Amino acid sequence: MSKGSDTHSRSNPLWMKAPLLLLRFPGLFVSVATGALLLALATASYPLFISAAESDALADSVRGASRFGVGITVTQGDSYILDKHDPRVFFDRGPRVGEVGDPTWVARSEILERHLDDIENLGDPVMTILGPTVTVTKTGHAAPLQVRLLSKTGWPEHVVQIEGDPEGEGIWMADTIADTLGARVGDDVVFSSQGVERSVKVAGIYRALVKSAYATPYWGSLIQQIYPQLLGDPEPPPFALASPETLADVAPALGYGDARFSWEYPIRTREPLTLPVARELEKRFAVFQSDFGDADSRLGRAFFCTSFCVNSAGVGQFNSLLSSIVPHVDEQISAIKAPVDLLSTAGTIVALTVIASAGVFVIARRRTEAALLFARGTSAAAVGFKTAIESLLPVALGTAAGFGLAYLIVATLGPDGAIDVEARDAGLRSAGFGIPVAVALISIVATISFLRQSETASSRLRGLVSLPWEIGVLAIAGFCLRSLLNGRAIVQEAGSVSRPSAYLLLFPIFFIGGFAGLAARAMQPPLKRLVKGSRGFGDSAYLTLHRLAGARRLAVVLVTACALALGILVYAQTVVSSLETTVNAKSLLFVGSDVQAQIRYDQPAPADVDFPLTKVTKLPSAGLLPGRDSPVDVLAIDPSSFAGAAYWSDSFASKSLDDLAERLGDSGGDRVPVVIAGWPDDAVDSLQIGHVTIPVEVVDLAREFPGATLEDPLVAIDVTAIERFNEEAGFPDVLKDTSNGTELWIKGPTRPILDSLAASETTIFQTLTALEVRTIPSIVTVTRTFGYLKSLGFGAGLLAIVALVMYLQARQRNRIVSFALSRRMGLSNSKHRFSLVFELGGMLLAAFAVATALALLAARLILEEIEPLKRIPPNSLFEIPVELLIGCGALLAIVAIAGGIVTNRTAERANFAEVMRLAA
Amino acid sequence: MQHESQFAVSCRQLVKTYWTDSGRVRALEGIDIDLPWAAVSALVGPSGSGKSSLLRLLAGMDRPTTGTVVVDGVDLTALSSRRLRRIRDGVVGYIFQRPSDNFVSYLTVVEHLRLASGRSPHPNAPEADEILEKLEIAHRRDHLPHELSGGEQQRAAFAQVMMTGPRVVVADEPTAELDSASGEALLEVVRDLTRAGTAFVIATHDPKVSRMADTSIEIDHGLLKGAHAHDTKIHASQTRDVVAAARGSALYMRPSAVRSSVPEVSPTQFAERSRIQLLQLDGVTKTYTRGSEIVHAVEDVSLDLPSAHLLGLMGRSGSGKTTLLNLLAGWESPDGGSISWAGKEMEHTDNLPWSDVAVVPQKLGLIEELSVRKNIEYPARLDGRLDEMGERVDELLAELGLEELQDRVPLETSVGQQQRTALARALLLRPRLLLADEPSGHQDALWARGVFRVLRAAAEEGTCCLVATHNEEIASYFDAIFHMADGHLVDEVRPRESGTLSRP
Repeated sequence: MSKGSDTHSRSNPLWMKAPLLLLRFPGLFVSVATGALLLALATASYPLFISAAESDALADSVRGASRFGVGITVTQGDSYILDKHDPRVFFDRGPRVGEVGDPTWVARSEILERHLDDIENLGDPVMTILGPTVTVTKTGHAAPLQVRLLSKTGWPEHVVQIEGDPEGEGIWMADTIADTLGARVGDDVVFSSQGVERSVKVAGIYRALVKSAYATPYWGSLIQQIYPQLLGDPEPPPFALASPETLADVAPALGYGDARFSWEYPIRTREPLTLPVARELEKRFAVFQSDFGDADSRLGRAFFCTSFCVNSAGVGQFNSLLSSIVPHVDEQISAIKAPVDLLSTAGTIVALTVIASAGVFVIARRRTEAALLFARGTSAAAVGFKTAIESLLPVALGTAAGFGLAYLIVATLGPDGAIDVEARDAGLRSAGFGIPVAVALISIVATISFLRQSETASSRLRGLVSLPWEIGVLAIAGFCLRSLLNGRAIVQEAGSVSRPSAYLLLFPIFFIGGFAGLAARAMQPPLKRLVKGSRGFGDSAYLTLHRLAGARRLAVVLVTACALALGILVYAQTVVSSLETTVNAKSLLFVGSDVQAQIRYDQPAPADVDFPLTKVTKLPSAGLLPGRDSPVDVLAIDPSSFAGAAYWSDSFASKSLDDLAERLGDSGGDRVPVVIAGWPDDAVDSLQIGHVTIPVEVVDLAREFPGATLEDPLVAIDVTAIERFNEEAGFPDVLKDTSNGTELWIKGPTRPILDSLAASETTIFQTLTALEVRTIPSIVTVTRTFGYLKSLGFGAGLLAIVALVMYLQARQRNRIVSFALSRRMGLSNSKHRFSLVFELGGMLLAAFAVATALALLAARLILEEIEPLKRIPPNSLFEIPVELLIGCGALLAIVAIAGGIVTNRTAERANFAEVMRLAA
Repeated sequence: MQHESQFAVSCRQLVKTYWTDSGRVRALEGIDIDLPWAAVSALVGPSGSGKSSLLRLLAGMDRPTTGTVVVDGVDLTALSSRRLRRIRDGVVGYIFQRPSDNFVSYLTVVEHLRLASGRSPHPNAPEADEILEKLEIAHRRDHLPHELSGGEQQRAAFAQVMMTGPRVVVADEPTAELDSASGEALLEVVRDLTRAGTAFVIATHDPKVSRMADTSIEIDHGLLKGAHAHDTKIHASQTRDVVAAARGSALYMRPSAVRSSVPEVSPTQFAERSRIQLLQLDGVTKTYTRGSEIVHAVEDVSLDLPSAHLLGLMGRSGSGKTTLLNLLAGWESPDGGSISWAGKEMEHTDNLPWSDVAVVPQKLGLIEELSVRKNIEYPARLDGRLDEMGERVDELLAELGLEELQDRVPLETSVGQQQRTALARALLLRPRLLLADEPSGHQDALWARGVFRVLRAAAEEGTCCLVATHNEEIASYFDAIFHMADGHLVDEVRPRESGTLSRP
């Protein structure tokens, strides 16, 4: 009695136990948590992915512009080289060489420091004094040469030192000058200008900067002073490098008091630069620029020409590429935002569906409790509220896991860029907002499910469930496909980067989902027919077959979900692989090989580049073929090195490139062998180039050929044959025409090749890499978008597989009594284990087979619609992602085996006595 | 208890139709009844006759397709969902057929009572412990439902009803899982509540309930077949003679129509077979924990099980019957004592093949993806004797009335039919020992007898059938009955003399 005396006063035990209740129902807990996980994954991955994509795009842009270009550069002076004795011009024109170290110079440096000091992520300034071009000679040697005086903070670390001491007194000469003058370290050379001479000691010799194929970021601001601007232009005078003090001593002595002074503040961040940080910097830069341009401000006054100015000469200049990079990145990202947002929304809808299903499951799994509460008159609202409390914990944990998974997937499978803190917080907010949404949805659905117990209409709804919903889904897929085939695959809005359309992303989801659903339905009848003939089957196969044939609706739904997720993964990878293969082939064909470097025709191929290379000369629209009105492109090649360096695929022609090159090399006869690409007539017997007609023999008609475009056919011919026929005809210099382009095609890894070119003695005018072609924004946009789709497919596939394994475990728990009896009847442990492996494997295999077939078909249908670089051959190449398929197959096999073994072990370890006792 | 309406329950032209995968099912076809206050109304009829549908309508848990249901003077069919919920909350108490359905799995017994008292407290509601004492389950107050035996669960379900004190109690087979003493105790509670004015409507197969009922209403195929009022309070307006036609259907085949394949065995043969001792238990004990409680389920039990006997194992709920069967099946290991099979002491008997020891557990363990026939022949398949067992399978299908159902999966058959399927599966290989836990628990009276005829036949063929049951009506079938109480074998009754093979 005493125990029961407080019966009426205690709180309702249903409510008291609600917060931790689902821990008692692991299946329910996991279902609810999985729904929340998916929701967090879909919502949080959007800001994270966009941030990573922004950072990636920003990194690409910054890489091209250098950290100096993206930072702040303040420049002053050097518009007019005037007589230092003319006070009108010198008056207040900014810093002069002679002022280095004097209060004016220091004041300008200090005022810049003060204004920029509080801007985070700016590195130490690099100061440059670009002096005048002067003449240098050495007594007893050749004619004088021109050099340009230069001092720049830390320059000794950014040149290849041949000999000398950076701390030594004097000037560092470029090797090209020193060699011509015969000057060595310690020699005196004479600088002269306007009749004034000054002898200076040679402190060291460095490798001329022009010999590098590209400028390092440090030299980026002086690129015009290092390289010729146009092919055929003379090389600018090399720098005579010196300390500021030496320069201040030499330049005025030669009659030059002014120079171009610049302060470069490079971007320097501990973490990779992200777009929000870049935006913040851009804002700060704008404020600085405003002050800088305001003649009334202290900063403006310090750098402003206040009296005698000619064409703004002497006015300080502000430069930063950040203000153009940020909008450019925004433009790129805006192109992927719409499709990624769409996918995120689709993922959210799927997640909400899973959550709603979990809400149904919460009631269905505890239908006894629900029926009892219903019978006892509990209100649906109370049940719904109670369910909300119950679901809080799994929803919170699932959300946390979902955010973590989103972060992990984006970081590992997404773009290479860093994820910004703001994006992380935005992801957290999105995921966090999902908690009340998920709890409310579960609660509402649970309420409705609870109410449905009393409604006889529910039995009528059963008929609706059996209707083939897939037809409607496939109708939408058909609509999407029709739109795609009508040219709506890629959206190109004015002034923005092209991006994938919604149809392109929705089509595979509806296509694969619809057909996977039908396939899952369609598997049941043949399985049931197979069951009829299963009398002679082995015990494991017999059990598996019956279980698969009698699979519940939930299993069919899970197989469909698994197929959909795997299908999206395979589809996305197929599209990405095919695009990459296509773009790869196009870029390599266009470039000719991995790297293309422009040189003069009369320059020999460099011997100091340790990669396979060949020298070719392109003669655009220079050839005429009999029977064709319009001209063709001519490619003059070196057959001995061509096959080793040029890009080639055996699909391009009927013969190998080695064979073709060997045939083309046999050009000493009356008829010169040629290969024609993009022209079907092999009866061509001559090729006219300019005024010379060369008798030719077509050795092969290629479908594609390196250097070809889709616009005109291309004729490949031995360069020596052209030279020979032209010389014989009296036109020896036809190949030297500057309208032709002579290029080195180099095969190998891009960066080492560029480094090797930079170190080469040969002067390179311009380089183009296949990698650069592949990273044009419109292609990157499509690739990134499908990368997101792939991430979603991967995540969903993982969950679907886990769900199937859990389904098998749950089913096995329900079968525990029949399992115990079957063991008694003689079913061996191994047979049971095999039956479970076969059951899970059968479902996964079916899902995977259906997914693969549908995904490949879907990708095949749309691939031509999204072909990039259509003007460059070849046409779209369909690439089956064999590695992914093998990986998926292996993973699914492992999951089936491991899942079967674990489930069997769980069954073996079950306490049959307790099961039987509880059943009693 | 004062009642404003004349009848506790009144139904007029009550029709209930369901839609299933197979189409429309008319569960009730125009029922007209008036049930009195302060009385027990027994609702009888075979499985699938419509009893449960009618009970759900009376309890306000469902709405009729047509017709009216008036409870305590309120027309339930005219009520909104909210008002109907209030009826369920305070006016009608419902007790589910399966004892475990009356509980929330994670609440203890006392928490259920607390929940009931908090919901709609009866002004004079007794304290929880008082009720539990009265129902002899006070020692279970802090136990979870699954720690209770079926009988204890049923009593705890009644305790919840007593806590709220509804005017009308609707109960579906409340005594099905109870031994006679427990059932008697429960009926005493019913009588008490009835005296206080409560109206009981009880669907039942239990003759004791029918006998104590003030009125009996018989339903078959959704039709009111007959009504027997012990006073004049009942009005039965409809009896149609369509049941007989339905009886012609194979699905409603009665055991009497089934041919028997029981071989004639002479008394001499039987006596000879009976001398073979299959299983011997000597001083076996078994203890296990249930929550925080240590349960001495079986204590010092010694038992000889000879061939060719049909033996009963009776006792109250929780007396240790199921644990003893588990020990015999080898699913439990004894803590003490010894178990010998065919004279050889064994640590476990779980490695004995199905042809030696077959089992019909209460939870039947049918493979739901296999048809009835395939379930029955499954032991033969695993034993490598599938081809030679075809005729035997046909015999069992026929004897247990499953021929027409043999291609259906278990879920497409009734629980009773599933129980008979499990029995056929157990008997297929003619096991030397058959252990069956309540094999007739879900059979109506006719099929309960049919099941025991088949068991009797198996015993006469040499099988030792040990059957745990509550059903004392069929005690006459047994060669011997072992009574258990508190884990001990307390009595052995021999209702039949060995060698007298006359069938009841």
